[in-house]
Amino acid sequence: MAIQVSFGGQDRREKQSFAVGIDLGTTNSLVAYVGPDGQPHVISGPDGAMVPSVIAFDAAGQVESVGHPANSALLVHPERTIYSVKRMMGRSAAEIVHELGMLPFQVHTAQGSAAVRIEVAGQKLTPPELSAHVLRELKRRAEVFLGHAVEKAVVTVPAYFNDAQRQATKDAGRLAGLDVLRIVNEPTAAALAYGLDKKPEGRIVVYDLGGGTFDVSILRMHEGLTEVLATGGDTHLGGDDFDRLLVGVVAAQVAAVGISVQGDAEKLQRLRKACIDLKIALSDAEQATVQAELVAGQRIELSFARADFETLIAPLVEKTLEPCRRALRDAGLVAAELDEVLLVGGSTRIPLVRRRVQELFGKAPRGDIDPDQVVALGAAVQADIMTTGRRDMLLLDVTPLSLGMETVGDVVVKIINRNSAIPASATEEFTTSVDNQTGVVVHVLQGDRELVKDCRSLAKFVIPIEPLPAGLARVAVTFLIDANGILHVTAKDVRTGREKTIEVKPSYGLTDDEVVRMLEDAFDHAEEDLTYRMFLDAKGEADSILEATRRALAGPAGTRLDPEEREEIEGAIAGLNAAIRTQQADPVRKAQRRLNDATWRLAELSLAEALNTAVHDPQLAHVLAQAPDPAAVKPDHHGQRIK
Amino acid sequence: MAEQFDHPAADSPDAPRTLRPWVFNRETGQIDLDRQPRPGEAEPDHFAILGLPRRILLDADAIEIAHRSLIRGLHPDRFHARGPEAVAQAQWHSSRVNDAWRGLKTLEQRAAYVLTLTGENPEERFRPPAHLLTQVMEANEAIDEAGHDPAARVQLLELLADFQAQRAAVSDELADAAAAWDAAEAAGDASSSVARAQLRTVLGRARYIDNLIGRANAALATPDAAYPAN
Repeated sequence: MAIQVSFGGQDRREKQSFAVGIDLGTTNSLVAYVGPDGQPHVISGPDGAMVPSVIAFDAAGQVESVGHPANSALLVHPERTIYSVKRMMGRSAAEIVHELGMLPFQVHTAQGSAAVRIEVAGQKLTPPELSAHVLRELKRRAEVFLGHAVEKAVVTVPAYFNDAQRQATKDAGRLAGLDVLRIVNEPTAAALAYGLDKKPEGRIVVYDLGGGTFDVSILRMHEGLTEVLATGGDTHLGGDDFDRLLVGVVAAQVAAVGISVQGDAEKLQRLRKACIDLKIALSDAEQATVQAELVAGQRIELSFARADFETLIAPLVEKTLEPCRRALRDAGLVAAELDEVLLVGGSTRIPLVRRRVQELFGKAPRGDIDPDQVVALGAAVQADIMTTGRRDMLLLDVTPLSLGMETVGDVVVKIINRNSAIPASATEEFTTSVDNQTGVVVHVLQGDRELVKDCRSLAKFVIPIEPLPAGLARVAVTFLIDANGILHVTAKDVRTGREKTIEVKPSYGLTDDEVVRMLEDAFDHAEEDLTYRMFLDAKGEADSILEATRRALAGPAGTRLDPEEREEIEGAIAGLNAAIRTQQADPVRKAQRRLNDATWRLAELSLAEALNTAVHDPQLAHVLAQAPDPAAVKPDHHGQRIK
Repeated sequence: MAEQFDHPAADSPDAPRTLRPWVFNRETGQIDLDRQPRPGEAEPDHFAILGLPRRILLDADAIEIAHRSLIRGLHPDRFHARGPEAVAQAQWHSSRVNDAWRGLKTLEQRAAYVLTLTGENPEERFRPPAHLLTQVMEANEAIDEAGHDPAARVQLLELLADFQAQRAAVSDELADAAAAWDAAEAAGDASSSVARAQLRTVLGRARYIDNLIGRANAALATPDAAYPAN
């Protein structure tokens, strides 16, 4: 169809369904989107694409900065700066205390809530609330870059995350004002991005060693279907642990020259920063030296050999190999049957890691992917699959951990085995053992061990049962693990066929009510957000009008304008560009109206031009023969759009 | 809304109707997310969900293709644009497709599954035949000792080789029993036939030996190969 004079804003509906992909990492986070070219791109801010997952608070308890500035704040006021939040997501207080080790955060549990809170600058915040700040920063970056509001996202998590950790990640998204369309496993996302680009057929293994977590996944790619065969990992193992080991050794060295970092958060952070630099340098050099200023005015030189670093971290690297072997066994494969080895995560830059992985799988890893960006790119691809309805690609993932129920003798009976393709379900029937019993208690656990104490409690709930003689009532409970790896429970009375509602309280994490309350609390910021949102909407519209005007000016209609008309339009364009720089909606709208007025005749000429072309299109000629005279068609003044 | 679909049974009007995956609408031949059991119609079994004939001897590729094509059409990611209700329905249907696929992967699984369909519990304890009992006792002892006694390891390796040879023989028997059951099922006689009793016995033996082999292998594996705690 030849008629296309679009002077209006972009298609609203299209923008509303738009979704970005987010890699919410332990140390760094990224946001990516799929552009009109069908390719995923990472969105860069002025300070690069990677946003350190660090949040700095001011003394009053307000968020001061997120990302790079917060990373710098870590050296100035570490007590008010939070990092490695991902390690605390969906965990119990005891686990966090264990996890934090030498991290300086205070952990609290509140009465009547299963969620753990971290104390910072006089406030007690849950890990999802903290993570939401990072997500909000990424959302904002994407909005500034794309010029329109972003409300939907696909967020990645380590494949080995359990139900509570996934749920916590989803909650964080909600708190940041994002509708999380899907939680995707990081190695799977990496494979998806790789698959889009390279269209591999066959079996690949993704070894993903990030800042705080380790994952391994074995996948089969076939005609656009990315199917996970097995996954494994360790959610307590990553580059952070290498840093910690290095800090321990270097701290002893500096103690020898009379500088103690013990119990001094600021010195410790400076030392940690220096050690990270050292670690990075050792990936390229056999010997590295960095300068550090632990005490103001006193520069010291820290030197380390790669061989010593490798000896230090070797046991941790070895620890990643057993999950790899297990994943191979679970997939029913031997290493020789793998076609590709993909390395993901910054820690795979370490030569020892690459070497050990190559030895295990007997194959050199692919060198043509960016281990830092590929996960975010894959998340963007998944967002695109879900919002554009493209049918050439599909992801079929598995649940990393078995799901079970507590039974007599503190034993767990498995109902869905690990590495089952998801969505997956299992239905169990329950009956009563005592007359007039009104409920059955169900305790759901996740993990692959035999005993209740060795698995992770997900939830406990009571199935309501009508009071009947023992054994007469029958209730079928369906456990469904959705495509996000999150559990849903429904119950049905077998005799009557009636659905029963079950309230499942998570053992750790936020209830729905708590999330709603937090969202209400966030209303303080709502006005600020709304103003900004309005600006973004106005800017989006202005951008498309500017673009359309530019195109029309360059086309045949443009050449038919009077010089004064052209001058008027150019003045209005300059005015609109200036208004956009104010970052306020009102000036943009006003300037946009002026441009609209100035382009009235240009629009008319363009329309006539388009119709003229159409008349010479034989397919359209007979339609137009019955249409009114093109010259009589008055374009609508404000929304000059004919579709 | 019509779904583009490439299930082998979908575009073949000659295919017997029972071989269409359950989720298809009989009249339109398209995926029907609202599909519920009709009055008097039973809940579909794994075979019906995948649109496969109820047979123990099935081609592994046919199972893979049936699963892959169904999941391509039914995965909830495909239905996001149609709203939460369609996603929930797709979730339910696709979980059953995945469950069916997982439950029919191996011949042993299919044999056990058809027995449960006729109300049997194939998990019931199997009593080993007398000739196996002596070996089982020897094996149990060797399994206990293998961790610290090299002689027990050697003995266990010998027993393992023997078990594996027996398992191979049982595999042949199992294939025969499966073929007999399939024939009885095709003749509409599966639930009452001797084929069922035969299948149950051979399957019990196969599982018993599998269990022994698994335990022997675990005992022989090096300690560091034990699964790590979560």
